[in-house]
Amino acid sequence: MASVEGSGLEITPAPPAPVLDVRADRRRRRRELFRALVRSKTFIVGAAILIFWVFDAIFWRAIVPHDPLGVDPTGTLKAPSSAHWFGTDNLGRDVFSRVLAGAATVLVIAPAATALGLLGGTTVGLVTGFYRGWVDDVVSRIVDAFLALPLIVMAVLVLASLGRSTLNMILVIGIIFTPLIARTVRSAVLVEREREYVAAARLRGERGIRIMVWEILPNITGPITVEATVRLAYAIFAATTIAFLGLGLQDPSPDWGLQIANGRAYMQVAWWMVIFPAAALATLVVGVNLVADGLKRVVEE
Amino acid sequence: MKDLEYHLYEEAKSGRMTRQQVLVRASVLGVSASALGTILAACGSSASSGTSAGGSTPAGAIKKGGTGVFGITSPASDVDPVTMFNTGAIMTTQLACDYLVFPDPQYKLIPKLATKWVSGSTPDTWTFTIRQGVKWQDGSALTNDDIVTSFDRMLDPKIGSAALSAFSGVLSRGNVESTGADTIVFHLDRPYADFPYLVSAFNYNSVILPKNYQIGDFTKGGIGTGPFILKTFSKDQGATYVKNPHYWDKGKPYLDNVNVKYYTDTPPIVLAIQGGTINVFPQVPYQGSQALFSDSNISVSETPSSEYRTLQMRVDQAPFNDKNLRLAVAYALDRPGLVSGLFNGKAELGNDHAFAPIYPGSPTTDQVPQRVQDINKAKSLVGGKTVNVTLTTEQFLEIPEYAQFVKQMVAPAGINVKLDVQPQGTFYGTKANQPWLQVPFGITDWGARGTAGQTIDPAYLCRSVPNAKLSNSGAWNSAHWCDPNFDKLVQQFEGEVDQQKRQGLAVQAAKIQQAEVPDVIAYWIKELRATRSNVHGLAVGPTFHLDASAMWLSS
Amino acid sequence: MTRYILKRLGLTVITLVIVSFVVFAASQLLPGDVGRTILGPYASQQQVDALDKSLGNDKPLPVRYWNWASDFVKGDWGTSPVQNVEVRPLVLGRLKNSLYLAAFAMVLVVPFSIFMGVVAALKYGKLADRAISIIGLSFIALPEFVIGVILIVVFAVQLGWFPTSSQVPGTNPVDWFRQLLLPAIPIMFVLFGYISRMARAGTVDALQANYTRTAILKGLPRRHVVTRHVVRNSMLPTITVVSVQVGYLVGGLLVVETLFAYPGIGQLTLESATGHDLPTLEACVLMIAIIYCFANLIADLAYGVLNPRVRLA
Repeated sequence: MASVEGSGLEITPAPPAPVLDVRADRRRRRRELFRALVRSKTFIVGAAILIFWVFDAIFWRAIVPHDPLGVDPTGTLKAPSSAHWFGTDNLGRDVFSRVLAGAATVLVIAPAATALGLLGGTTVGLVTGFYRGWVDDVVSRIVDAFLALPLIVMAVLVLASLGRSTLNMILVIGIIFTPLIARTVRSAVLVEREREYVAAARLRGERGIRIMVWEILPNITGPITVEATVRLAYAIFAATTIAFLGLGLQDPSPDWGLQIANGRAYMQVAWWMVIFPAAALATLVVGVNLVADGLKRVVEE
Repeated sequence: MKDLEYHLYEEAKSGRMTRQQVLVRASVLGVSASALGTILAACGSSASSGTSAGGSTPAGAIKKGGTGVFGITSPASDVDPVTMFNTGAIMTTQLACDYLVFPDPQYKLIPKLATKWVSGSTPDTWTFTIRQGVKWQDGSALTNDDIVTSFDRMLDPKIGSAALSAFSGVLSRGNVESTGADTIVFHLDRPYADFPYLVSAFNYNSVILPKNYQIGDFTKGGIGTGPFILKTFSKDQGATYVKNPHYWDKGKPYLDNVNVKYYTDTPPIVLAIQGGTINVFPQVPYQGSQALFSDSNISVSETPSSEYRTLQMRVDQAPFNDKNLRLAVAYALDRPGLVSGLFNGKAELGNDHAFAPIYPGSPTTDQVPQRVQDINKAKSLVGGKTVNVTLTTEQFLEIPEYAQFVKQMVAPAGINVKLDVQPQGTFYGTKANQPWLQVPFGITDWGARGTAGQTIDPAYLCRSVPNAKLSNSGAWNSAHWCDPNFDKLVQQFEGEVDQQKRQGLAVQAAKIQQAEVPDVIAYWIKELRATRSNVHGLAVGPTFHLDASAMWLSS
Repeated sequence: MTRYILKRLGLTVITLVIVSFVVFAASQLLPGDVGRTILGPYASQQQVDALDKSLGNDKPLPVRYWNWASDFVKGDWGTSPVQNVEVRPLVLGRLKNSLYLAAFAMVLVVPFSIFMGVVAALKYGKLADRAISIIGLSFIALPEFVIGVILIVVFAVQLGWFPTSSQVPGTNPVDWFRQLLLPAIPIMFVLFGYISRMARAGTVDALQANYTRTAILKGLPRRHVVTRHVVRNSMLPTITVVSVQVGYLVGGLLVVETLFAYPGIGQLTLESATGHDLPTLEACVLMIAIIYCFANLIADLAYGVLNPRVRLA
């Protein structure tokens, strides 16, 4: 794919309406991007996995053969069979149903946290990258400070104070993502602000905010999208780790991290309690990583 | 033959007590050997019940030496014999200290620092003969003074030992008398037929300590008369001990060293014993240890006990001040299901009264019918409304799973339970902040006790109801239930030596407790103890009663 | 060079000050009432107020922060209300144990990952490259706790080659492997993925750069080019990644230490969080941040040594 710089923005002699051309060019670029993605095998495989899990997260209630919360004290720790494809857990609950239902918790928390981080990170990144100066310096220091605290450690600290809940998990992960995303956005903005179209906009007298949102932002959707998918993969990883450590949702939630933590004690007599949620988690994370990888290759070329 | 012995003889002759039960009662009453012979002869052909202590028969000659390594859960509080109340702390001290008597898995009492014990004409005086020649681990001699001071310390309300609760209403401070060089007399506040249990490991704080012992000294090491001397102690890692060369039981202990390792949870202990890092897992919860049963290097022994859980409902607060709601919970539970799901059958059914099946003379299910699940009855008792309540409990053994089952089982009756599972230390708290005594709906774990009296006194009597500031230490009636009739019956029961009359009183008391149901008692847990196959000489129970003096290792 | 060092040091200090604000806010301000958090929902309001007073929580915010921060810097980290020991020796002791484990994992995985990353880049586009990338990707995907549990069951229980929970090793190198290998593996798996990817990317860039082409045109043998020019320049981004991974590493340590019951700072952080042991928790988090910042500082200085352009700027 040809280099993106300046491709739709050369000042052609006597254009009828420069703005319209830019939009048409963006649409053309997006079509080319899409076509390239569809050709990329990594992207397709990843997208397929992701779509499967999203579908499951929305429609699990219609698919599950048993109630994920339904206990059966006389049928505990049964191996996989035709009645229970993934076996039962220590309370007699059907593992297959719980695995299907567990996608819903992760696929609510992780995307919401990523979205929150994107919102905050893009804003901060745009402002610091565009204006630079002392604002940039101060914010960069704050960003560095947040980077010094690993996500898991911060999450442990905050969730212990605030208490365990879905909302708190989203807030913690989202807020900690903000500086990470801000960094990437800032780098992209630093490149874009030197381009001619920005200078042209300034000459036209456009205000800073207009330039940031209408001129620069649409041109950095590529790196932002890649960053978003990478962060999503990490959000999934983080949310399940936090659940495993016992700071996420409480029993009897079918959250995968919680299932694995509970199943740990029974690994030797009921490996199915751990292996199936772990496999589900692995496929989801691999799927998102493949999507991120595919996007990255396509956008960078 | 004395009165007590005569009553026992009657029971034996009529066949109302099995030989096993007779032996147990006889040990408590301090029946002399000759009288015991006569009594047992009257037993006839009743088979002895109770399981044998795992690995107690030496397979060949006893090998001396080696290190016993025990894996237990970390003490949730300070390790001090006088103030301790959880398994980790208790087992840590039992390796180095002795009681006057010690229970075996059948709840029979064995002489330790006391060699003989006998009651007066009524059981409100008890005379214990103290073993002579016992040395403290620092070489000084055990004297009657040490014993009297130990009891004074235990009974000091300022120190607030759990023993205070065990002795409450039975023995008061200052009534322990040293008479003669080797006898101690206990002057009780009221007749109590089971008193020797109260100075056994069943009253886990009744350890005998030196006269000038200060709280907190134990973990410095070298305190006690027991088979092993504490050398090092670390609250999160464990403790190490060496053999006591001057132990009063000549020839014992057989091991050279003992290590205790602390773990925060069951799964690592299971893995540790399978991997050989530890060789004894003394208190095995069934949940999480299933792998041990099929492991050929490990033997697991089981024995019935009086260990149980209270599913407590505060009768003085909404919503459970409504008796029908409490009954609804009791009828909603599938008890055989719980025994199957939580213990794979290794528990006995509970009938909502504190007279555990293992106590000789407890009411049978012919006398007090077993409560069974009846969802329809539960629904009608709730009466169609929706009740929301939080069940607060601790992250300990099978209790979180029990809570989950309770939540699911009462849901059809219209009771919505929200679970709040806290770390054990938070749930028990300290001083004026003890959630287990304050929550409207909770589950508390109770270790095995020697007699029904010991189980009932701290938990179900009027005087055991905690006050608002929780300043009456040892008052553990977590349901805040008070029924004066019940109290009277129990008091009579405790003072009664006629076994038949005793049982009658027990039946009446049990019926009251079952009808009022301040706590649901759904099961009585069977004790499990896991050892590697080369471990011998360690009795299978009871609960956290660790007597490692006869333990030895084959190769 | 001195200016560069001083500038980096200054920035580190500023970062740490901001970190202290964040930690203070998260642990003291967020819960609303510190006394209530420590004592739980059933304590009486009187008890809570008394505890707050004794901890100095009724004073104005800047004063509280100042007291808290200056105490920490002075070395007075308080006493743990849960374990009844002084916080500082407890946390530092645990930190030492974690550093053993982290160092062990790093020493094993970093050279190996860099090597594999460079190999992948040299075989760009071929089977070896794709294989290494996919293996790296799958290693990242598996959470450490899953890898860890499988390792315990297979290698510690069934085969008995390793102990089931890890202790701090003695001086014997064999003991180091016995105690630390299993807990280190989950950490190494994930690090391998990131580091090999970075090394590969860095090497690819370096291979395509002008100076490499120049060297080859000059007639220098390929191996010489690779080792002298390419590797050196591809180390720059790799060093950045390694130092970033130190931060990630501590998060991973938390999970692994809990799983293997290893007495490190990660396990202490989690324990004190769930046990509402605020002084210990705060000290742990601050120490982790300090370690991370200093790792970064060292990485920056190393970067400066390797890339003269930065130094002289």
